[in-house]
Amino acid sequence: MKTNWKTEWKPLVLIAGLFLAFFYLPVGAPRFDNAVTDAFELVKWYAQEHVIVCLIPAFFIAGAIGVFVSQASVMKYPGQKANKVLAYGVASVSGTILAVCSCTVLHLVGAIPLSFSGPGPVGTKRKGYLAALILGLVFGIGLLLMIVLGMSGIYRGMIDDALVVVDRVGADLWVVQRGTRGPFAEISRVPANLEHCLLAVPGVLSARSFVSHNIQREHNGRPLRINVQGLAWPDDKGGWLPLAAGRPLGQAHYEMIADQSLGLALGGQLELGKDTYTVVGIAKGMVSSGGDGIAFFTVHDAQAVQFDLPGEAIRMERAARVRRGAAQDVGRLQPLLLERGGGPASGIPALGPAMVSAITVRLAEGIDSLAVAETISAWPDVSVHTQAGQRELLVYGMIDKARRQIGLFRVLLVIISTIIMALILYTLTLDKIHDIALLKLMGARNSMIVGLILQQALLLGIIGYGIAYLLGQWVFPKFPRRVLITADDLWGLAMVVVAISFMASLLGIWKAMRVEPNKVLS
Amino acid sequence: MTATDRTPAVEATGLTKIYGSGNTEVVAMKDVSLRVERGEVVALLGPSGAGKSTLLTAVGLINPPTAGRIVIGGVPVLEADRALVDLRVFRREHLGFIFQKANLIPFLKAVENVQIAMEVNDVAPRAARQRALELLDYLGVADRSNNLPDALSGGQQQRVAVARALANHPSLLLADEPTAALDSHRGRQVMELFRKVAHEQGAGVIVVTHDQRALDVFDRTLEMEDGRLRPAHAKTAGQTNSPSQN
Repeated sequence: MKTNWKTEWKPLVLIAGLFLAFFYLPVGAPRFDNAVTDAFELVKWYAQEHVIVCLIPAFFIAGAIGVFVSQASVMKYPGQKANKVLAYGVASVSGTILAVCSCTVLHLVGAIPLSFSGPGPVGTKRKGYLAALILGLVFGIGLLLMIVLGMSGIYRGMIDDALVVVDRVGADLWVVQRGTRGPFAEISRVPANLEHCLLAVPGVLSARSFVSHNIQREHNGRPLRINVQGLAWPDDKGGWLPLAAGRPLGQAHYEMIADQSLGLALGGQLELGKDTYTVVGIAKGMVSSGGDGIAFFTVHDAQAVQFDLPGEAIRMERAARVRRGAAQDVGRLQPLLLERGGGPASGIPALGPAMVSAITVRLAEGIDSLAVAETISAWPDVSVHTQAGQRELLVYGMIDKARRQIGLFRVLLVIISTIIMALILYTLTLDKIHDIALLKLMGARNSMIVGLILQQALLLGIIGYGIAYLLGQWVFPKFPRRVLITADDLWGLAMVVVAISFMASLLGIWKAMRVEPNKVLS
Repeated sequence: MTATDRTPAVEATGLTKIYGSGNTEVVAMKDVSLRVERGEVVALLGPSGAGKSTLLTAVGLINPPTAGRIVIGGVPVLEADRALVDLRVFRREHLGFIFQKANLIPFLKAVENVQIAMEVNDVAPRAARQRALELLDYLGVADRSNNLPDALSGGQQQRVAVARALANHPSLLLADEPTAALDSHRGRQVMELFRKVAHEQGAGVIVVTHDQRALDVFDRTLEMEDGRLRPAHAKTAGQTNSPSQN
């Protein structure tokens, strides 16, 4: 039997290609395995979250629109002859009900033409479909712009959260472990009694221990992440904290002030380590750079939480100390020392004082912080950062990658929005080719036609911006991390929208300029 | 230009239009000369492909001829395909167009459809609106001035289109199959409207039509065949059977 290579080569190449692909399948390579696992995890997430929360409701809404909303009612409210004030009101209300993401909008928009399928000229149906499609796309642009705004807000919130403690503590200098960048960037350990040394430096008004670390505990059956901060009791009781309820710390132990994002109730109790702490104050807006709510304790309690060990581990450590002491001359010659070795570590001066994350220093008025920092930096065991330095480390160090990633994401979204708007405007222009030809035939100037398209583009942009703003007001407070929208961001986005509108209209303008007046005769 | 001018509304001489070249060359119009006086209504008959639309678009300054000369209202405007004036400006100031479909802008009201033709010509909006309302009244559709085109009948839409064509006091009105989408009664009404407009406004009117039933309305009937123009009838409306005599 003769092989027909002209037709057989394609399946042969396909089979050979598949064989080679399976032959060299990089099973076991971490990258490949992770990619496969992540892909399935994403599919699972999509099935569990997105399909249930977004797609199925969208199908139901789309079905309801298709079945229950008649052509007449659609034309009555948002149609050409509708009262403009009424149409705006209906659109605003239905906008809040139909506030779903762009992929679900497609189903909703797809449903609307169904309601145009009643008797009537084909042109009306097509125009209805086009209007519905454009409405859907404008809504999609609004959602995209909302995400751009949200990204900006997340970025601002991240910076604000990162700086909130640094700014609120109000220290002029941060004294940290030598060679480290301080407690916000990495682990820093300095002896708590360093604050006495610092008080001896000329110009230093106060020096306080600062403790900061993260813990995660189970609370009411769910994980609770807390950023633990120590206050230098009794000088610092947390009076500077913005409290939504309750009071500052009133005693040296077993009290805490919790940020409201932690969800702890005023007067509620939380067991941490071997102790139980009562929530005496609820702070607002006190979140760490990682997005965890901050809880404030006295420095000693914060350390107790940090260095908590199981009873058995403490007993074993004490026994080991006694054994080590007994094996050495110093232990044998000084029985009292051996006795102390079996007690708490705090009772043994030779073991050193407890460690804290940093010492915050305040300077007297008129003192040059850089000069004092230079003096302290000469000490071989510490590094000194000014407050501005700490801020810079946080913004350009700790959250730098997140900041840049968000920035890139925003740029991509702006490009996508521009492309979508350009396609909408192009579609609108195509729909009006006949009218444009008519205007040209009547002798309309190009500037007039360009002006009409630009007006249309700006109108789309403004509607999209309005949708983005209104939806954002509703959605952003529900985000797990703080979304901080500033007036600058709103103005910035408005400028971007204007620029997008101009850029997007270029395709439509190009098409309009190519329309010949005699097109009106065809 | 005014209605009292003695110059013809349009005078075209030796118009030729050739599409393509070599083997694909098509002569759509050959050595056509045409003169239409002010106040005169001329019908242009002929089978499809005879060159009627080519002549109309050439005289309408939207499809320049390959050869020939066009003078409108005494102003030389085209010498072959060479423009002697700004054609766009000249079109908007001196020409009016009416088509088979009314071609009204669907999202503008009747009065706005008329108004826009004047705003394109830099007439102030208030004055433009005033004249638009007067024209709609003159053409008998004042009561529909605030309706969108969808709410108007075919005849009413065509009247609005005539109003739009008259908005800038054109010296020449060009109509391409204006009654094709209308029944005979409404078609006749529109044709009579052209005669009224021509006589009262002093504009020359050229109407391309296939409608043989209303030829008596025209002052003159010309026929095109194979790109050439020849007179079909030479009579005045008053000499022929008027609608009342039918």
